[in-house]
Amino acid sequence: MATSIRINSLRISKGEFEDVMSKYGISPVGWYGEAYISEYENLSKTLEYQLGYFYIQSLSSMIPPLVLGPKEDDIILDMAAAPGSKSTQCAMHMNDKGVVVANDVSYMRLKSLASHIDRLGITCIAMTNFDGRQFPSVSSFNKVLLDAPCSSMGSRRCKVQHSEGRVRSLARLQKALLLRAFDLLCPGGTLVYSTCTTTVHENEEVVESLLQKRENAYIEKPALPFSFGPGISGNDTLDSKVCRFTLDESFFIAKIRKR
Amino acid sequence: MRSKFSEFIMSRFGIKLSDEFVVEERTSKVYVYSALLDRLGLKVVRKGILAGKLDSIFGIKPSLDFVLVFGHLATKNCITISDDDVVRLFSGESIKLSQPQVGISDGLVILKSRRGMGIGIAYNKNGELQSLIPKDRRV
Repeated sequence: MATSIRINSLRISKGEFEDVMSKYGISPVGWYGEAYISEYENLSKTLEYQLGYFYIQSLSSMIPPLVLGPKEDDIILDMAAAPGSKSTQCAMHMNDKGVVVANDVSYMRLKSLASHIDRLGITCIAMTNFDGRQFPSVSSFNKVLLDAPCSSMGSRRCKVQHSEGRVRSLARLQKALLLRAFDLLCPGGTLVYSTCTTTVHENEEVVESLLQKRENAYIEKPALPFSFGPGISGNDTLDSKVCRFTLDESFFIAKIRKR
Repeated sequence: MRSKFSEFIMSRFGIKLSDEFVVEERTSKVYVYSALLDRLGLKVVRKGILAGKLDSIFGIKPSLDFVLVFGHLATKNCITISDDDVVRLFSGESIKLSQPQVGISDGLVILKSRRGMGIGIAYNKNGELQSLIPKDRRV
């Protein structure tokens, strides 16, 4: 199976990367200049991996940070960050300037995130260990990413068929996390909500719940570098502004703004 | 007041970090992070990268990841090695220097690639560089 990777442009230029990685048969991904595909099976065992030249990441999971649009000097919260693909991708687009708070409720999963931060050499990330629903209000962020814990039904790694009750339980958690994420956002800020699952309960209904509770929230249709499908909730206004797509995994994304 | 780590990297390697970065020593570990992170006012688990350890053998030992980010700033006790030697270094092998290096003393040395980037750390003893690449990072 092909492996998708993202260059760490903080460490190596594209030209040098393509040169040193050519022995692994990498080919660029057309819609994202930082992404490559390789058929090589053990990329994590290579010298170039240990030198922090790249991060192994599914193509679909590269999209939420692109929709968030990180820029130098942003103050970003990644609310459910581990193992860190999206936090480190944001930091890379920020040229390691500004602030990324990478939070995860699991302390054990933060260890994995820490090893990636070290290997990629990123100094602008602070790791926190809060339950996202109770994330403290001491800071406000101009961008927040919530790649929510979900039933992962769109993931190629998903082997479990979740019960209806489990999905409802996850949806309750997602609604609470999204509400807190929105409240931490400063006026004019951007919040990206994403999951790697396909159920309406965990996607459109979660976003709809936020829009009902916060009058100053609105959805903006994201600009993606490829065509994507609409939502499937039956609410035409909402469905036309959220997106569903499948690359190597199926993802749902909503871009929410705060007035 | 400068930290022990800052003093060490300055005296041994000539590396002076700019004010954009903070060096934080916590028990036996040293972290380097962007100074902006101190404005957060949040209880954090960790900031930035693990830059080194206060070690019973070496005293202070910069981490591989510190060298990969800041090693290019080294002006003393640094040696440029070939691509083949980089591979040897990451397999844990020692490297015998073919000719004496002027101004390199026994002890920790930063290794640079031909591009001038920090690529690793080793212990120099009479012209033999012993790899200090951590076992879990060897290839």
